[in-house]
Amino acid sequence: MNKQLGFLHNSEKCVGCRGCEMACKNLYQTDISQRWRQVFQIDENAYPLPSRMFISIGCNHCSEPQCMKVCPVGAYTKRDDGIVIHDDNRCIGCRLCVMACPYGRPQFNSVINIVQKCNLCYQRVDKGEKPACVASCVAGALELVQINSSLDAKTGVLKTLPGLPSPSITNPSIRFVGPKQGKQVRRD
Amino acid sequence: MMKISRRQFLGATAAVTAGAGLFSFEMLTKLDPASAAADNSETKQFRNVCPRNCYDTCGQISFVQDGMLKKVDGDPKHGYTNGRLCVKGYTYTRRVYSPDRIKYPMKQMPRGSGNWTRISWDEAMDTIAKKILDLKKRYGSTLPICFDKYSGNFGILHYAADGTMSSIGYTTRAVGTPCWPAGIDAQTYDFGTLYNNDPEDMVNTKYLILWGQNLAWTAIHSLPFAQKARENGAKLVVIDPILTSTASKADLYIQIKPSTDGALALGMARYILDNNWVDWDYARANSVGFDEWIDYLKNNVTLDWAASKTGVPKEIIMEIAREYATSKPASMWVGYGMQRHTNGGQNVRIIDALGVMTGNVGKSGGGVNYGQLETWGFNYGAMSYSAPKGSRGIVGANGKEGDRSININNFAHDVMAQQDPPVKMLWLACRNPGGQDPDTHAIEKMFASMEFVVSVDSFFNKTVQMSDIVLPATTHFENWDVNASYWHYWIGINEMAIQPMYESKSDLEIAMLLSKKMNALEAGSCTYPTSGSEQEWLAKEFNAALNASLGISNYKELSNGPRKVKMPPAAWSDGKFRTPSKKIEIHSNQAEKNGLPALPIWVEEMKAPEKYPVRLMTPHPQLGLHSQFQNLDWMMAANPEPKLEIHPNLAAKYGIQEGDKVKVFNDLGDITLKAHLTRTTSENVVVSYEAWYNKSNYNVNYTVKAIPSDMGKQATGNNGLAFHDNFVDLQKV
Amino acid sequence: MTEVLRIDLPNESVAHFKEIASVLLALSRVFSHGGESLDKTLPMMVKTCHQLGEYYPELLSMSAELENHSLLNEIEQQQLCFEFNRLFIGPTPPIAPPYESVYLSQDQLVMQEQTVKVRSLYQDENLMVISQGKNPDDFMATELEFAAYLLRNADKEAMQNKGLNRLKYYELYTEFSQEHLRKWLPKFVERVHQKANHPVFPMLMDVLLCTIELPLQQRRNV
Repeated sequence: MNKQLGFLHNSEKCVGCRGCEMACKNLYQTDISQRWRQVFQIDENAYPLPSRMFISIGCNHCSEPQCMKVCPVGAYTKRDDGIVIHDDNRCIGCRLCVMACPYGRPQFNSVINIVQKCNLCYQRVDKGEKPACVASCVAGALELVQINSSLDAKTGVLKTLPGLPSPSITNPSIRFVGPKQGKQVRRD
Repeated sequence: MMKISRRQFLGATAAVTAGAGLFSFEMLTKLDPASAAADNSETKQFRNVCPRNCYDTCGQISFVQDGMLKKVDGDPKHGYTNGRLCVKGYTYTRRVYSPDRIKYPMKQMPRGSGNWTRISWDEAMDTIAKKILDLKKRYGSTLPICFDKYSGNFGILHYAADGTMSSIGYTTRAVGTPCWPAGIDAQTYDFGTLYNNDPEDMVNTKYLILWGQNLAWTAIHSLPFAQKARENGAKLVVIDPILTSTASKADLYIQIKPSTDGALALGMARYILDNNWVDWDYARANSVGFDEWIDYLKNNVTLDWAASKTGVPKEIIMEIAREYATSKPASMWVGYGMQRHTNGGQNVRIIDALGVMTGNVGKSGGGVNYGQLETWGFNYGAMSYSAPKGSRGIVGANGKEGDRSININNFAHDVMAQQDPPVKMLWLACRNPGGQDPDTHAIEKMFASMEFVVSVDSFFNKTVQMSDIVLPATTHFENWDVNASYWHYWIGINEMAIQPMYESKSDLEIAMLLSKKMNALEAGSCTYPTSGSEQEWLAKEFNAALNASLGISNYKELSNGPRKVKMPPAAWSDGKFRTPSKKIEIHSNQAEKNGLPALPIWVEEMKAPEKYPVRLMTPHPQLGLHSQFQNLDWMMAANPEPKLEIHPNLAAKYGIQEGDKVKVFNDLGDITLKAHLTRTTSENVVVSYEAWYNKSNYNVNYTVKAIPSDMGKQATGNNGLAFHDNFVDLQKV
Repeated sequence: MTEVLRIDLPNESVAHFKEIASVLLALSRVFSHGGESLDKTLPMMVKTCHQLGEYYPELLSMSAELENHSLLNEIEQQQLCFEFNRLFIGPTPPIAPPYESVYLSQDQLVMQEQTVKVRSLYQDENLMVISQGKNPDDFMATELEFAAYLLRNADKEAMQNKGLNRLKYYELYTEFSQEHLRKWLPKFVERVHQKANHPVFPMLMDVLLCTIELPLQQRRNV
């Protein structure tokens, strides 16, 4: 595999507006309970100062996708560009992948009784367009990038953030920047 | 752009098609080949504008296939919103096609019983028109009819609802604005009106203070401009009692004591004065009363005082004073939250003065930015109809008869207080007082005292629940309109993308329909026109000056994309202020005449009463706009229930832990909700965001008293509401 | 289609498509005329049920029960209307919105792919919804009217009068029923059964579910 597409989430820029989350739902009109992309607030006690900091996560298109490993019907494939695709037609809704993914990204659709997840808007990517979440990000906090050693060598690029499972489990194709805390004048 | 089928009659019977024989159809009819052809699966695009009460007023593109709305996206031709929507804007398909929508005119008997009957539009109009005529006969005027409309849809053609009322006679009107009037008056006294720099000009600032403004939640499209300024070296300071998402990103966050913003600004002003960073030339050349205020600063303000008043250490006041005064240009954005206090307008006046003293007014990259209505140069034809001849009203100051004004911000009380004649009927459009007005119990009582209540809405909310008749409102994809923003300078056309669902109608159609009925029952009883397509009405909203400012010759050109009104990037850069003296009025006689201090001096904030020591702030939510959006399924999934944000130290005092149910109460009422312990709020401030959750009676306004803010009367007719001067006590349930 | 069936026309002497169509049409009117006209539409329901009941005893007992609960005084009529609106119309969020796509689309909204699908079925028959674009094509009353129309054309009288291809219409009904009615109506009916405060509505639902099945049972009889 010579390529691995993934996301770079800049927590320094992200204000947790959830536009990405709804842009994804708007495009795919996903089931009410599903949040293929989801914005999480980082525990405010994880950093020296309390603040509202966020992580936005879709599927991490892991190097070692656990979902793919456990799927009994081969509904998952990993493309040459690293995108992990879930084939809804093959899925039997057994939900093994839901249990296997440490990030909770494959999600069960109770209306059609199958699992679905973020496919990195591969149809858009193939046309040279940005994924819906990236395109919608007003803050410019979300980028589609090549995950490689030169990215990891850049200062400030992190492999994980507080609250996320260890990247050693699946080697997720997501990197982070920040968050950064400014000065706070508090009264407590 | 789209052929609209005119067939909309229900119940027509036709025997058609080859196989039909004697079969009598009621729902189906013979296929119209033209409509079948128009209905191919090709995706059509329409231009829309999000009409909600929001800074951003986004340009939208709606994608329509088979006559159905498939997707809504941002309009890339809109230079401020730049092809992106917000978390709310992406949910529009849920709103338009929600099975919960109000579909038909309905009648409730009796009011509040939940016993609803479907009626035809004709019966609805007949009932309403007869009630209007009956009240007019009984009281000799239409004054017993009270109209309350506000911000549910800010489209210009929705002013037709106002027109409905003007055209039946003189009525009782809820006047004012709950949102921002104190700040409007502050800027009116100081500059002549409210007028902010082009927000896109924010990129040019070297220093940005967001004063009580949470753009991450309420004006997300300003973020890229603020970011750009920061990339160019500007420092971002956020002053707010709550550590908001925006504040979390600031270089410096200052957790000020609520309602003491003016004291902080005065402390800064004193330090600027002491260091002579004052732009004397600008201030003296452009303002009146500046030296008088300087004397006040010298005699009355010290840094120690400011520090103890605001809870902000002296060194910090000195730091931001120095930075603000010496970074040129420096910009301030004054949010609406900070003026929702009993001294809110006065605090804005002090901040205005700070901008003047440093010469930041009238400068690109500067400004004391609050809002603007400069771009709203429409004809307002839809609302401009006079009362029928012989109508009786209230004699005004000009000696002429006219409408009777009551305070929108004390609505329940003022409606009840009217005598001679009393108010007997309410008409509510683009407005949900049941959800949004203070003192919900008082609102319930007032509604119960009415003879007749009509509401126009798309969803069943608390106000509809208290109505006799509800009329189904179109969404903005189902009618034509034009929209401007009270922040950015863009104007966009709102095309009709799909047909109105079910039997929904726009306020304009309702106005024409009611007029038809009124005149049929009693000729001459309503002056509103009874015909005209929405596009014809739309055309009438434009004038030569507006067209010129947009660089168009015909409104239809807006179908090619929104246009920005041609204005200089900096407000007041021409130095032509609109006050009586034509200068910035640091000393405002007008303010003095209205019983306010002439100068931007400190006015004491409201203190917590002993019995209710905790301040309950109820700011705008992230996933809704007032009572819109949060009720939609996607939003309910993302944010299923309200929470009370409470500081761990305060929680400890009450023995409250994360997730505990807490009763929040005062003399007016109470709400019960789950606690979320967080240090993002101040120790003596609890926070719960105002919102209407689906199928829930939760409403912060059960505890909110209708306490007026200090200003608003001058420009908007009534003072605003001190929503954030709300004091409560807590109890673990 | 989930199952492949041998296409064959049922025995004419036991088909009774005309009578079944009448029940479906009467049900369609219950929904199109609304809660305010139940005083007229319910008796019609009872009447058509009786007629069909001559051939299907289970319907006879249903129609008798329906009849018992349809003889109402004015106040009861009104209560029935309020209940109808609470269940199906609004303005409160209806318990069981009478639109197919609310039950079958991923989005649980109106105007979804199911709506387009039934629209194209209507178009194949040279038909369209009178207020297309305003009222969802998969509205209960419309689907039932269409179903009744298909059955009428599958009836022997239609053949005599028009020389229609009965088999085609029977097959169309089967397909329409399997792809649409039988898919969403059970879900719809379940909500009514769970939440209805008046026995008439669950009874109507039983008649509905039973009646749409009858033509398919015929097929099995072949």
